[in-house]
Amino acid sequence: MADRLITDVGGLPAGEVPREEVPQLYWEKLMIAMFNVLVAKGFLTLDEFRRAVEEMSPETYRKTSFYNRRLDCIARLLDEKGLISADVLARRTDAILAAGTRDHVG
Amino acid sequence: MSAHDHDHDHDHDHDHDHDHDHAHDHGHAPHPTREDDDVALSPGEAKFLALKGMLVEAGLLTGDEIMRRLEINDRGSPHQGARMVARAWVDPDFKARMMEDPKSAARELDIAVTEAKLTVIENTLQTHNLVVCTLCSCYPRSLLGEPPAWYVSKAYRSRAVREPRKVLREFGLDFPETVEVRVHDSNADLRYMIMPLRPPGTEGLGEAELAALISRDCLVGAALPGTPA
Repeated sequence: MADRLITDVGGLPAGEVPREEVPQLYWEKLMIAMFNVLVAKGFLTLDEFRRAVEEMSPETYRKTSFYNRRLDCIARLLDEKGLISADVLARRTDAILAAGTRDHVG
Repeated sequence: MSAHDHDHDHDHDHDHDHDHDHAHDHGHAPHPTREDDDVALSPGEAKFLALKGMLVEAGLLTGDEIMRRLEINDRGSPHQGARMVARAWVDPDFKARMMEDPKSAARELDIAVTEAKLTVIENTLQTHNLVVCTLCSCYPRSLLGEPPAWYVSKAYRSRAVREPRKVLREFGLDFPETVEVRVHDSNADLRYMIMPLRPPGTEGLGEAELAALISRDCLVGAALPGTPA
């Protein structure tokens, strides 16, 4: 048990399977497509992505939603590679949130 | 869709490798295919918009590239898998080709399978098959679209390999002990689609009518095809 990765849940006890249908939001679909493009262009690999997910602390992993987890790992890898600054990203994210609008975003 | 598929498509499933318990994290509105103008801007979306803007400004990708990829991703839907199964039900030669080389058989129906490797497993009267991805959410997306929330839930990933009959009962499928239940754990390099048994009483139906009986969940073994009304 202690050696299990946070993602390695096969066979663990768990409760009832949730059956609610949860449609993707539009930005989530765009984010997945962006991820696919980043991989296709060689900026990220899937193995790197898996490593990034598995590096998440169990606490962070549990409290982060599926798509936010994906996004956080992409951003962390791009920062590691020196392609996108995490600090700048945080500032720009705050600015967009403060503006509260999807306009003017490329 | 051919030479470049493998490069940029097989990633699409592999990467969903975490559980999908986000139903509790933030509200979801049912607008999967257009702008969520009526949904408040969340921190996650703001971060995505910021990141996308930075990537575009840095010249690493373009908005058009994202939209083109979105179109490709949107072609995946359970209807594609249902078409394949319905054809296989009515055409034994097609079925043989599908079991041998599903990607090639899919191309006959103008379906581009973008996953690295796909295997079709046939249910029989003796054996029922169920698909899971315990580590992540690997799923034949180009044939079935995005996996349902239950498929990527931690509960399903945990229990499907330990107590599949109990899970199937929760889904309304109760197989006698004489039917073997096999569970197939997907991974990034190998995805599974299930070919369900053709329901009795469907002898006179055409392909389109048959395909309409095959739901998304049938194609991973979590449901059985409907019967004609």
